[in-house]
Amino acid sequence: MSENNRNPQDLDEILENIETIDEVKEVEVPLFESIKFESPFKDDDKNVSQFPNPAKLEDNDGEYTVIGSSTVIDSNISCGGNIKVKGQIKGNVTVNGSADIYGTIEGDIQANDVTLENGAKVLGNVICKADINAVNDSKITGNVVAKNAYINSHVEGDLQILNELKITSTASITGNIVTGSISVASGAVLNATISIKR
Amino acid sequence: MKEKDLFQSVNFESPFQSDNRRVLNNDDELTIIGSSTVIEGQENSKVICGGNIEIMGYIKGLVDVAGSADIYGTVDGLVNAEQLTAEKGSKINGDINCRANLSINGSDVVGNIKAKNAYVNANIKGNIESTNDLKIAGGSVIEGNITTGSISIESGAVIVGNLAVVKK
Repeated sequence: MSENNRNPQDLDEILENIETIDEVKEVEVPLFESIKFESPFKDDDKNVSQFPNPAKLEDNDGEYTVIGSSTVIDSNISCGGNIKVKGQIKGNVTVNGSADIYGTIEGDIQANDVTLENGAKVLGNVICKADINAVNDSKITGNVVAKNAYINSHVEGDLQILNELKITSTASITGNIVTGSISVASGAVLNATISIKR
Repeated sequence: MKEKDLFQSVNFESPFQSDNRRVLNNDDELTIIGSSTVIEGQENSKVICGGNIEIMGYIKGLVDVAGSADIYGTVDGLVNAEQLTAEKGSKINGDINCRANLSINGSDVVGNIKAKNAYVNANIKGNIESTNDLKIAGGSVIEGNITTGSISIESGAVIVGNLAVVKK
């Protein structure tokens, strides 16, 4: 293993080496030649301008911010790229690109596209410039504004959809709906007032 | 019927409200704060991460990480982590508490630093406390007091402050 490419795990070994070097000092080994002043951590040569771990991202187009499943954020987030939320956020989320929610958000979401996956929960309003996709077992408690919407889950709040609203058989919606056009699959639970405006 | 009633009366859910916000210690998990991402805007704003985190953007508030924190961006606030690496161009305005190894390479730190082992090649305004080993590279400018178990300083380093090497 080269001296420049040490693992952090090897630090104990490095420290042992340094101590032995101190002992050898009596035999007049020059002190500073014996100590490497390069970082002992192997990650140091990472290129800052690149993603260090692109393989871990599902999508490399544009920037991705990922909030891991055990991460809890009590703060507002604004993001120029896309975001994936697997953890929990207490605060507003503003995204230029798309927001994929697998976790929990207590706050408003503003994004170009919003996708709520299985088990996602949103306590707040959702505003999309384009489409919202709410898949099985996700839940929105708040108002939804979007261009197009595909609802396959629970919504407690008003829906304002500019173009097209699709409600599937497993959806349940409680609130007022204003939309350009609507399609409802049989089996959907609606407790709503609906107005269709072209 | 009585048995059924009994089991219905027992609540198998956790009685603690905060339990659903509990942070798990997840070694493999990676949270990435992208370079155009800004996290701020609340009093007591904080990011608590059970796995590892890479910060390329900006965070204002407490950052508490169970695993390792790699910082390429800016943090305004206290950083707690098992392992911390601050890379070139990064800025940390706040204290750093690192339970194991700390590497600060080409970044600016304003705040006090605590670590087990530390490698420093950076501008630091604040005290450095290392329980084990501290290496200061020649490009460093440190304004603050240093307490450490052992130290090596490369020629060229600028240090303004007291130095105490205490063998434990």
